[in-house]
Amino acid sequence: MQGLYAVFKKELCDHFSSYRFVILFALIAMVSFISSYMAGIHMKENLEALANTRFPFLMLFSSTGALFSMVQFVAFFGPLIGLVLAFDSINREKAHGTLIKLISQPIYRDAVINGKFLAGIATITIMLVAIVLVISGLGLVIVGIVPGIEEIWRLFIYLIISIFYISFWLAVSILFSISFKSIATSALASIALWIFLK
Amino acid sequence: MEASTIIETINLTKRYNRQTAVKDLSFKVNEGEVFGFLGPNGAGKTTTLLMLMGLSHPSGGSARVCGLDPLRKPIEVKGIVGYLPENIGFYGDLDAVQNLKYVADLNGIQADKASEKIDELLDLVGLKQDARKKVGAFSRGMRQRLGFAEVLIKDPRLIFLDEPTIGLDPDGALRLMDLVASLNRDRQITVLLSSHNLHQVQKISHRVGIMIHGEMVAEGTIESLAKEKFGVGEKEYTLEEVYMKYFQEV
Repeated sequence: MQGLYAVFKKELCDHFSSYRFVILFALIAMVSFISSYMAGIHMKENLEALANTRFPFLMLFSSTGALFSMVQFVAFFGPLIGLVLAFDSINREKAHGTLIKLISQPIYRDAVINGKFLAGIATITIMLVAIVLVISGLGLVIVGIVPGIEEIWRLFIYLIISIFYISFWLAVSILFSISFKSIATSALASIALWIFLK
Repeated sequence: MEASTIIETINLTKRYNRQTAVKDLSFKVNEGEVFGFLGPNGAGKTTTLLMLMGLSHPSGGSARVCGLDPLRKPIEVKGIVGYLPENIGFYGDLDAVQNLKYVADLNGIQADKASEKIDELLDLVGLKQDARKKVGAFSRGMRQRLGFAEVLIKDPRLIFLDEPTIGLDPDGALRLMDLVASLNRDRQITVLLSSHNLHQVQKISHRVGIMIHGEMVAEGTIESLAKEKFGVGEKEYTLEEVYMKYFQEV
């Protein structure tokens, strides 16, 4: 257990201090905000139509204002977050000679992989929860509608499912980073699989 | 004085597909000694070290490290053994202290104790003024010394050094060997030293083992090996001569 927590802490630190995370987060946050903002503006102009829908607040996430909705965006680009976070997690350690050092410490080998996986999940969770909360706040201000209890529940379940979905891709990219020696190959394999399944 | 055995292997064997990397290896290392582990490249030295830590599964035979079976109790063994691999890697974007802190965390050392220990070890290996420098900017010698600090952080009873002086300048290599000798002397740490620098090995080892093609062809004090090869009358010999003699015979 001690090894798992140590790896988790280190990896989480690495994620948050890396340019990769900053770029990824900026990209996802920007696109999500823009699409939700567009949806919000659109909703504001059509308030009568909004009155007839069951879950007006959720429209913020699911209505396609201009191009696509925030939900569509996460469904499409979510896997990429998972892949980008971990495609080099194990083989980079191997290439830098740090893997042998890690596993010669008194920890189980699984702790290295599990710690990295959990750190990835934590990063994804923080990213998505932050984005959804900011968009909700944005919606309260722009459109002026308050979410009901059921809407909050639905949003919560949506978050859980999205995190599971992206974590699946995170696991896939860790698997590739274990099985391919070269970082470029594992990146390519991850993206190839993503494009193939899309 | 009869020292107790800290490492013992019995017919340890490792096969990769059809190739045999280590063949029926049986040897002993006594507690508190420096054991020079010699042999040409690809003789199976690193494979043996990995098997002794439970990182590689032997195809046959068994090993005991501090009375523990590395196959069954790898965590316990890895808690006692410090391993300095041939090409040790660090996280280049972290500084020396952060790198050491991570290893301390992995060993379950408490934070306040760890920082005390890190200070002490950085002082010991002479990296105190570079403590906050990113390891990516370290020279080869500095990395090697940091590797030493990393190995010592868990207070090992036993350290495995795999080519610790490779690629170091003569002065750096000499200082590193002095450090190894002082660790062995002052802290009673048993050292398993694998190196090609026979001159240095001769200076600090109590006993040596010569491994060629996965087999231990000789084991004992340098004196006894020399006697065996050159006869009793010979007084002047170097480990290099002894080693070459064994090597040529295989």
